[in-house]
Amino acid sequence: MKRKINVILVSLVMLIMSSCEGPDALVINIVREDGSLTRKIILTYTKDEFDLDKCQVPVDSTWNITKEYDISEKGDTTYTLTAVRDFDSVEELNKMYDNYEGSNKGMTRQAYFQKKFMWFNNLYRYTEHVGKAMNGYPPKDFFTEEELDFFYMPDKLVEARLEKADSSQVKKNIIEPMEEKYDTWLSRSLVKVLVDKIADTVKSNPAIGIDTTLLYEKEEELAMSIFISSSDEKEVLDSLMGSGFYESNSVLIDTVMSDFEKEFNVAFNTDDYLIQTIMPGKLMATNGFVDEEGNVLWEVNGDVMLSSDYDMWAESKVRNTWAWIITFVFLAFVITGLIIRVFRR
Amino acid sequence: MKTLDRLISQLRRHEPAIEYRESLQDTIMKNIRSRKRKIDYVFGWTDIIWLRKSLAFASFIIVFAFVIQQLFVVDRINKLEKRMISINTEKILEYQRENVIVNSVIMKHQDASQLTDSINVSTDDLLNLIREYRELQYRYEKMLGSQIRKDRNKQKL
Repeated sequence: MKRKINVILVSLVMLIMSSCEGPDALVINIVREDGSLTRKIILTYTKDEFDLDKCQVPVDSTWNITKEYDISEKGDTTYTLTAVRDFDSVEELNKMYDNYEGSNKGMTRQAYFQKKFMWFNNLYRYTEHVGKAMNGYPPKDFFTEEELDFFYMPDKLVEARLEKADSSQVKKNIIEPMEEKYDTWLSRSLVKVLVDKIADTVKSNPAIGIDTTLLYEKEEELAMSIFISSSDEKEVLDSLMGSGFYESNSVLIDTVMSDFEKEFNVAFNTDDYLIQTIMPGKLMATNGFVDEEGNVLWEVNGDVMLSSDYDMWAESKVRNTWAWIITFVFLAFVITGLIIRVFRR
Repeated sequence: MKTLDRLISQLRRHEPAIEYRESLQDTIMKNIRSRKRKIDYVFGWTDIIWLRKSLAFASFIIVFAFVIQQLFVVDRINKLEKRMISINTEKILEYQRENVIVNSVIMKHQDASQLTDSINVSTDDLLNLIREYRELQYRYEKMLGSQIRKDRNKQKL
């Protein structure tokens, strides 16, 4: 167990670094009123080596692919691959997600499109759903609303935000408290998953003599001792649960740990990418970030889908001109009729 | 005005008498009745009470629904302003280009994290350090380039 937890601790440190190996990806969805969409994937890399099978999102050689390179002022060369494909509906895109075998294959992803007729306007909602990797605590249980904004904010936007005049205030009041809470959230989530798994196993095998109520009570202490203070797990468990606990339940703990690792690896192995969505008509609401061009931006990384489902949604409206004309004519007719009646009297 | 006064005084003097008073009355009444019987196809509905009330109520509902919907839309768009950020697609791509270059510098030394004397540095600090390093390297090369050009010029002279 010690080895496994150490692996996890190293993994946590390396979580962000895991995205460094391959090309950076920007996925652009252009959603249309009929539910069809065009997906454009822009991969940027320092080498002219793009392995589409390992891409962050489903893409293959049947897409319309173009390549170009750019030499910066400093003399660095970067290569850009752009792949474009039209989809008749989100179902077609979801089929690609289902058959995906790339670097993010552990992720559960689905796209949804909804159209709502509201007479004067048609409302459109596009959602990209990423299923959670494990049943930990959702970030909203630990962070304030302002902190959550930064939690979900793409790195570049955080950087840009910190370039503004009030950056020291933002850093002091939001970023630093958020970073402190981050460790607590992560450790508590991981311990919760472990405790839940032990509790489930004990429930199905009553012969195992573990007091799960006590485990739940000690959840916070376990998180602090194992993940924050990096203490020896054997000692921690024995001191909290009673002497000999670790030895007598080592098989169960090992089984639970390997199961836990599988789930954790889904988040840990996440290859980060940015999603930009262009909605039909006028953008009305979103949980993403709206750029200067009115497009919505999100970042998908291991943190955002570790312990809660991540829904990236945007809503827009398109005016029904014919409905406005009909309504205007009807109102004019009724009002004129009523006025004429008054004058006739 | 004079003409009108003259006409009125003439009429008063001669007192116009209606010869067929009853016939005239009948004709007038007949005309009124026939006008009443004419159906007003466009606004005739205003004489039917239930239809008039229904259409007025429907108009009110439509106006009410329109106001509510517009308020809903405006409210959502106002909330959206909080999520506006000053970036565009070109800047994002520029950032990605810079990011892969910086990452390629880190990845050149992949084994570093496995060394026994390795230390933990936050990713932000590491990326900033590498950016600064690259900036210095660029300036140094630029300076070196101008020095070489100067030396060449001296040699030519």
